[in-house]
Amino acid sequence: MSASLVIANLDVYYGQIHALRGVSIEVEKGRVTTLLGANGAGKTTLLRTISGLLSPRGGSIRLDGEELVGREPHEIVRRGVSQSPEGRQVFPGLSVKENLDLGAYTRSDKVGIKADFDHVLTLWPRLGERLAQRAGTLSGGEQQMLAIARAMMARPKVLLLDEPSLGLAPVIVAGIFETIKAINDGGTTVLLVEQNAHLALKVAHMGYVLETGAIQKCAPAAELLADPSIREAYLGG
Amino acid sequence: MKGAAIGYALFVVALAAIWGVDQFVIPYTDRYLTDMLLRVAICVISVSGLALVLGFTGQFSLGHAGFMAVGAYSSAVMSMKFGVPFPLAVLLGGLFAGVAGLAVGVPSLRLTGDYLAVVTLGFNQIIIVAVQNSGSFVDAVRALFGTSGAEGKPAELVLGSFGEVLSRFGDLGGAQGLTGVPLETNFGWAFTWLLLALVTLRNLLRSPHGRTFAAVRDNEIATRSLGIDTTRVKVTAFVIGAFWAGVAGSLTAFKLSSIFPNQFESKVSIELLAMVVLGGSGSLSGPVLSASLLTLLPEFLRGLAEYRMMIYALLLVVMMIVRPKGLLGTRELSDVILAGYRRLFPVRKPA
Amino acid sequence: MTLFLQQLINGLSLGAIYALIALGYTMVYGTLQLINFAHSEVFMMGAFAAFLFAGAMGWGDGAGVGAAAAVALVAMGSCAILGMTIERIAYRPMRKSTRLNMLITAIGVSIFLQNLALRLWGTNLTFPDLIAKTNWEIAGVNVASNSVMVLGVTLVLMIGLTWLIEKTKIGLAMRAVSHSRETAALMGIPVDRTISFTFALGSALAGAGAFLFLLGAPKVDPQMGAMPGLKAFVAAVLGGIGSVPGAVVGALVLGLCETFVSGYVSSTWRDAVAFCVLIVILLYKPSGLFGKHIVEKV
Repeated sequence: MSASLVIANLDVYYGQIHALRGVSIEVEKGRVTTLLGANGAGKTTLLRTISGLLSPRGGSIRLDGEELVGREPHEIVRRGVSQSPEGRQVFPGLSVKENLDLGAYTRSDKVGIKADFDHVLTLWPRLGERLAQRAGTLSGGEQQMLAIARAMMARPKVLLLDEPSLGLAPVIVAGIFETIKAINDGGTTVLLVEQNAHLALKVAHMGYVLETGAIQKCAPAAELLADPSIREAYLGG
Repeated sequence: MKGAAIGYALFVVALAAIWGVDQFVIPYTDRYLTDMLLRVAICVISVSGLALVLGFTGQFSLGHAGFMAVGAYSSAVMSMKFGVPFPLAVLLGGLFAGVAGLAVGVPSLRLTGDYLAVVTLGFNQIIIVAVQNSGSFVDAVRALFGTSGAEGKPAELVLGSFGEVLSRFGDLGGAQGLTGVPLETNFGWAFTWLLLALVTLRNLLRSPHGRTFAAVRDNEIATRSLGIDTTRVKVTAFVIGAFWAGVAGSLTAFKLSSIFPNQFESKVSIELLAMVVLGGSGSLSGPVLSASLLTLLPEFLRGLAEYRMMIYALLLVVMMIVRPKGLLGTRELSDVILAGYRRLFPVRKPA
Repeated sequence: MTLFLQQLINGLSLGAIYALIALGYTMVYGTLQLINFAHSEVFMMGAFAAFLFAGAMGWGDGAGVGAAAAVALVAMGSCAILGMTIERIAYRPMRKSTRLNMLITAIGVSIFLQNLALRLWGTNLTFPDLIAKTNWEIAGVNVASNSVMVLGVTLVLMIGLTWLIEKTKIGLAMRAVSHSRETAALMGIPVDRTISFTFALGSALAGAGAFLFLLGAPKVDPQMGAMPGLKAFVAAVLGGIGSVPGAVVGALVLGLCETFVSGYVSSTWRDAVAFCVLIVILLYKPSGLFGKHIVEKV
């Protein structure tokens, strides 16, 4: 159950600041597309706009041909786009189970929800051990797992991931990226926003580079990995 | 130096003008009009103080009327029970209110906005309740300390005199009001105090201190990281604001001759707050303007007198939604006039 | 001892009413970080709704439990609608504004409603004694039927509310929204609708509180909401604003304090109790009994 997401000529402003300039990205069905860029390039802005938290001044965002711009955030989730936001944003006072339940808020198919719940616990058994625990007491890595699991509970057509590696130890990050690959193998389209270019390009099929609000490069991931300018800027030479 | 000299000269001229008007024009003026002018002056003094606290330092003070009450009652008592002359009584009223401001401000200013609003509201209520119960306070004091008599041991005399002072101070008439305050407020004094308030506040705001106030309002954490003791800044603004509220309250007492605790209810604090916000928090002349207009407005809306508060409230809500920065926002009237002037007479650049 | 027990019951009874009002404050604050100054006027309007409805139906003294129940439901329903309307018209447009501006808008709505009631209905109206009041002797203590009713109804409402918040989907949504509106939106929760519901719920409880209040103090007046509202707010702060159990505990504590001070010290200082409690709390533990520590993010 995946879809394609086509973003065309997106213009987003923060007050007077032109945060995204004519951004065009195509997230291919069933693939992992990654968006790279330094801090402040506009990556989170883009994801927030897709999810409907921000309104673009111009451009379009189409999910399988259907326009998302102008829709309420809860509508967009209903249509099949869910996000694991920057900084995890788990609900700290609620239990792990309640967080997961919230991920499935827009759904009413009890059987399907149960199936996804079990599936999510297979991907992340650690969460299964901590179902009754308050999400705020989980470690950073566990919270990241929860955030992604929660987004998966919506059975999304497109999964948006905002900097899953942020602030986590390399060992944990490696595990998370393995799971991302597994999720994609299961058929979910993924748009991955990352600062850790190396890992992102390893798991992605297609890569875009965003610099101060504009797309600078777009190429298959393998090409970008080998590209010397990318090496220098994002891969530490 | 020249600028300062001009400033002083203007000040003296203004003072002379005020007292000139008081002596030569007011006696022939309609009493009603004079009363209106006095009310406007007093209101503006109070509101200016609040503008400093709210607009410039960004603190939600919902108890401004409480400080007015402190000023009103203390100056009345000073005059009636201790024979202090009027001008000094007003000053003392302001000082007492300032001290009250210190007492309230120091512990509460580390609270965030909403909580400060509630504490000041609570303080306002406590003042009212305290005044209403002043009768029982006086009884308690009399019972505790006794009153001074000529005979008795030194310790008794001291305690007795202290008790006497306290009970004289505490005899505030309760809910029935404090009557018999001498009618001393006139145009001259009201506008002199107004001039003093506006001049000192304006100078304060233009000084380096003035910048600090706005800095604290806009981003307290950043200001603190610059090494500025923001709590001290906030408390200072609070105390100054309270002082002017006290002055306004004192002038009110000597104008009305009788003061009642419910004249200083939180409702009044809220009206004052509204005047600052509607005029533009961040401006001094804005609130001055709105305070004047809103004090005069009921006069022109005589027919709608019953709906006054409703219109007020509606105005408040609509303004908040439509023009949250208030009439003048952060600009001063002089800026607005200057901008208007420039638009009418644009300066043409040489080719 | 009997005096003590009597005061205890009175205090809990008073606290129960404060709790019903306090819940409205705490739920709205938890969701929007707004002190809903207009809440006390919603309470007042609930009392008027009860009064007007009873009048329209021609119910007077002794009309019976059925009539009382109907009146209570009408009060709750009217408050729910009023609360939602206020949110929609006055607060929603202000969502992106500063806290001060929202506060001022709330104050404006509060003043407007008070004066509207004054214009429309005047002051000093009396609510009929719909249910005959009796006193019972239990273990030598004089227990008023009123107190029993207040405590009973409040208990039922509390149980209902707890079930709603903890066990239902909408309750989960409310809790999510009070954590973070944005993240809740990312879950597909219709945030605006959830906030409306929160207001409706809090207001309905205030309406119930108004009805119960009238049973013991049958005066209907446009100013009647100010004091109970302020005290209920203090109770919410005492318990930790934003916390539902906190509001209830804070309210009961406040009710007890007020009753004991009034009974053993002096009734003239009754109103000051709430404010003294407020000041003490804000100076020593602003987050209240159950509250989370408020940390300012840079």
